[in-house]
Amino acid sequence: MIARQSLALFDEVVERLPALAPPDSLVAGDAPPATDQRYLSPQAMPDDPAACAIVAVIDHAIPFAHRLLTTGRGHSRVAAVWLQDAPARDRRPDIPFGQELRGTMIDALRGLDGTGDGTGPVRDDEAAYRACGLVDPGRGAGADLSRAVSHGAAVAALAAGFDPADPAGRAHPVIAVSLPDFSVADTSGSFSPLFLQAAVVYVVARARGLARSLRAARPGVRPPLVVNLSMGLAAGARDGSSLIAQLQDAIAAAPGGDLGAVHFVLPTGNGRQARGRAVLTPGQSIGWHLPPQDATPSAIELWGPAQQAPGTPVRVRIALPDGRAGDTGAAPGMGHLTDPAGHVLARTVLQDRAVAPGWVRPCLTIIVPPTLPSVPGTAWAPAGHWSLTLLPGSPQPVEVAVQRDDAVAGFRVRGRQSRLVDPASPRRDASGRWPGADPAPPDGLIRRNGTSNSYAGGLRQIRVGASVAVPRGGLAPYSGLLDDGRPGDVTAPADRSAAQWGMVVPGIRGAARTRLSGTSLSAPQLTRWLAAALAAGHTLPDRAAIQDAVGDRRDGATPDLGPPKGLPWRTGLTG
Amino acid sequence: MELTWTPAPPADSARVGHDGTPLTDYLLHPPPVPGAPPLVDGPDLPRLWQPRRARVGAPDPADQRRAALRALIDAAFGP
Repeated sequence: MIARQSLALFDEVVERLPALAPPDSLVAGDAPPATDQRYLSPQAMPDDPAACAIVAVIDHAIPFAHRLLTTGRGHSRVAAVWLQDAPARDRRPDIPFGQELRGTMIDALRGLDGTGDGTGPVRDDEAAYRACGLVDPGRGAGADLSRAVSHGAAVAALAAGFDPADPAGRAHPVIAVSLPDFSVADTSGSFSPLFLQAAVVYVVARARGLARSLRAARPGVRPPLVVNLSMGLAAGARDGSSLIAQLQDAIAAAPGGDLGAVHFVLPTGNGRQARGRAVLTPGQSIGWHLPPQDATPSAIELWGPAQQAPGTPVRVRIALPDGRAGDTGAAPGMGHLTDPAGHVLARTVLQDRAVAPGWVRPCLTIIVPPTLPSVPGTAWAPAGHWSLTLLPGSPQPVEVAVQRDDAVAGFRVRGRQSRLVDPASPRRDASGRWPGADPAPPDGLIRRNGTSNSYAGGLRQIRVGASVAVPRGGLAPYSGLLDDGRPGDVTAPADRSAAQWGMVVPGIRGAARTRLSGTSLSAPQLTRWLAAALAAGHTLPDRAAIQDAVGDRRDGATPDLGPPKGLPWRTGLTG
Repeated sequence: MELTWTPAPPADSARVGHDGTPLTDYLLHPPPVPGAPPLVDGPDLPRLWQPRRARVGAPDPADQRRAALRALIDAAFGP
């Protein structure tokens, strides 16, 4: 069972959660039991349960009481939301931390539980957030909806936001999971798999519950479910072997008896020009630039090809900016590269990652301590130009992947992104533009093919790249590429043009707007389109069917969704 | 060659195994620094909340969290 396996792998994080999570987000012994088990108020139920599709959004700081997620009378279309690091106010047997709200509870927070005059909400969205402890400057951090904008606000609105007066909105009940600040802030994804896997399990559990309540109104109904996960990771297996991809693939392949088709929609990531991917053969060297003042460790992975177990060890010579060097060993497991005084300059972990029964991919992970440790007495490493040389006897070719280590907008900067250095790999093409897919043969060690989001390495996930609105179908220069150079299964615009960055998206409250960019905004556009198509009764079982329905894909072209239609705000992509 | 690579104790390798995530393990078990006193407050985890907000009811033990996660899995994939 993949979900149980994931939890077992992160059991120590579950154990030590009090050191990570805000103290009040942990369920306390005296928390009262939750009593409200209903999902949607009757006013927010779909007109026709047989013509609806559930939309799930897993993101950060999702404004669950936003007007675009309500009906005309203000009732919540959000059937259930799990705020993973919000103050825990009650106890549910299947909520291990944070706070869960059902649609009826959100309505009650806004005075729509029969206590008002029946004309609309008594309290605004901010009052609901405040009542849940989500607008609390003294809290320090965690599920903070006091800001003007958030990633989750933009993604949720694009995936499932409707004008409250538009009856089409009721055909798309929403299930949401707001990931913890401390997980999102750590862009290396060290802790996020636990929360992501738990979020996916939660979405399926609540979607099943909602489906049962819909069946009470219309027997036999099995609503489809489209899950949007606009999160990404740079390194990691992109061959479908990661537990995150395996869980999503397994659910999509066998959704169970309560749900119709289930699709997971993910962005391809924004790392095409990040110089984070390379391919080495034994004897070749590549530079690895570690920026100064990086308060977090930097990591790089070297993946050999799939082979029968046991794998051939990947071994490298690691050279520091001052020229000192050392060779990693061939023994599986953990090792340390130390100087004569015993200071650890790099930790190495050599693993045989299982990809199929009896088959593995050898993977060497090198972790370098921060170049500016935030606490005295902790390991540190020199910033500058490091060098990695693949030693003879290693498998070939070896894929090099730099782990993400930057800062998300709105968070305190701790990590600084490391990158690969290869003078033979030009940053720009001959015309000065950002380059596209790798030429054949590649012009250096660094690759742009294979820069897609490693969370989206599964066989059934729908991978969405970013295009520009003008010219139609042009590719955004940052959009990650699959191994074969394609920009994903589908693209959707996240920028007006190559020169006019971003698109207008809603903020956390009311009519607040901001301009954002990136494949995170392309994925929810497909989520929205897919939910509408499934609700309309179209049968779209897999990637190929979705691509055919989106548009022309002759000559292997990736279909583009084009600027979104019918959004209740102006995106600035056209006009 | 002024740097030396040495394998870690078997217990440390076993902690990560072939399926574990090395960076997560690093954050939970950072390498010691020769001569440095042990960290008073545990490893330097990416904690964002303010310690002064810690006065809340005693949290459930970790086993309760594990049980809740198992219950969530049952709700998602059970009959």
